[in-house]
Amino acid sequence: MDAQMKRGLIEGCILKLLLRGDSYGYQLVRDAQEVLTLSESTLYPVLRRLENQQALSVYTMEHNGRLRKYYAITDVGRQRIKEFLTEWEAVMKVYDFIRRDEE
Amino acid sequence: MTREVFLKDLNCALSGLEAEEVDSILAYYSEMIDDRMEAGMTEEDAVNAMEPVDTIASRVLSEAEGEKDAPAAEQKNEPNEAEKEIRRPASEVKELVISAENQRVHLTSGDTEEIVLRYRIEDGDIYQLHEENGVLTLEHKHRPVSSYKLDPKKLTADNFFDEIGKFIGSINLGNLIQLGGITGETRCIEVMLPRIFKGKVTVKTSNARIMAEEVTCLDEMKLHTSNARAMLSHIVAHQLNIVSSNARIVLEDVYARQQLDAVTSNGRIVATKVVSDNGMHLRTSNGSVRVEEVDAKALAIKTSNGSISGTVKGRSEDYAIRSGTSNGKNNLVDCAEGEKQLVVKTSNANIALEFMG
Repeated sequence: MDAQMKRGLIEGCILKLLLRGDSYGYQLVRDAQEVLTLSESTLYPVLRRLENQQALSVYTMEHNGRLRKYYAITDVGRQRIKEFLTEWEAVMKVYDFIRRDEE
Repeated sequence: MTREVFLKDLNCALSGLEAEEVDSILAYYSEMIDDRMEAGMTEEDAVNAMEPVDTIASRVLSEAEGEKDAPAAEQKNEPNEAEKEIRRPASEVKELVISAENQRVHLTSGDTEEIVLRYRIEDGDIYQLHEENGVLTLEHKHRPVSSYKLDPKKLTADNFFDEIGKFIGSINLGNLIQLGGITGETRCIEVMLPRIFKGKVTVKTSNARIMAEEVTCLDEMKLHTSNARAMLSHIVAHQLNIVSSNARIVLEDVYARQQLDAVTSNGRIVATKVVSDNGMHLRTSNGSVRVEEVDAKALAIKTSNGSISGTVKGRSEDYAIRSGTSNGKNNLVDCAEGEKQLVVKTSNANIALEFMG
């Protein structure tokens, strides 16, 4: 799959997962498995980018004597989810069109 | 491998990145390993579940490279994915090459130490940026408008409508709109140089204008296009080579130290206040040439089926003159001797050049 497209899909998934509730790195990797394959090194730049774009916020909490980074969705992130869905409506239209009569 | 060794290796592999970035990555992977161990894995299994250090490092470094190319898109409040901006320190660039297809190129200068390239990426565009040995190249290609290659030479009276029909039927409407064929919106690669640029500039495009103003280039400028105008104003260059076809070349206040060549066909050349310390060659066909206050040591103006008129600096005595036309009037008087050279040739049209003194 095209690299940029994959990145966009991962961004969308992560934001959706955070919409359900704040989460942390390892949990996101596990939860994303239900939709797409995601490795730690693929997730990291996506989290950074979303942070730079202020689509999510980061905070640290103590957990079992160590520090863990948590991610939370922001209003910008919520808006991004809406934009993602709108953009992909156009993609779905083309998909349906190509698929039609192909069975 | 232990957690410590893994993190140490990763730290080494990431040297070259900013310390803050490295710390962030190490904390991220440290946390990943810890969480797996908490889930019941042994330290060794948790570390093995990570990707190899080399893989992680190369992904991080290639992301960092990608970020370098699009800083403007990330930092603006409304990132526009379709617009790209590339900045490079001008001191690092010995030669700038812009190669485009069906897209205008516009060169200007600004109070900057950088070369700034701005362009839009739209459906069907392929841009490649190369940097090697001081040569910065931006290459742009785009998919053809139609998938049926129409060969005008193979058209006959019998197949004409069939061929045209096939061509029109295969036109990719999206690409045609992008070309400006329907909406008239024309895209342009914007190039901004420092006020004085020490390197070479080469611009090649097709079917689209090249425009340049206020550029001082201490080396050679090559501006080539086809089927579209070249328009230059307030330019200084060591050497200037402008080529087009089926369109005009318009020059205003242009100075070349060594050589100025402006060549086109089926279009006029207009040169106002254009000076060369050495050679100047203005050549077209089926188009007129109009000069105002031009000056060169060796000036050649050639066309056909078009008039040559205007004013030349200096006195006629300064020039060794060779001129001629057919079926037209020529006000110049040929002369074998002179410090400077003037060659003026056309056909089926008049020559009317005045010397300003």
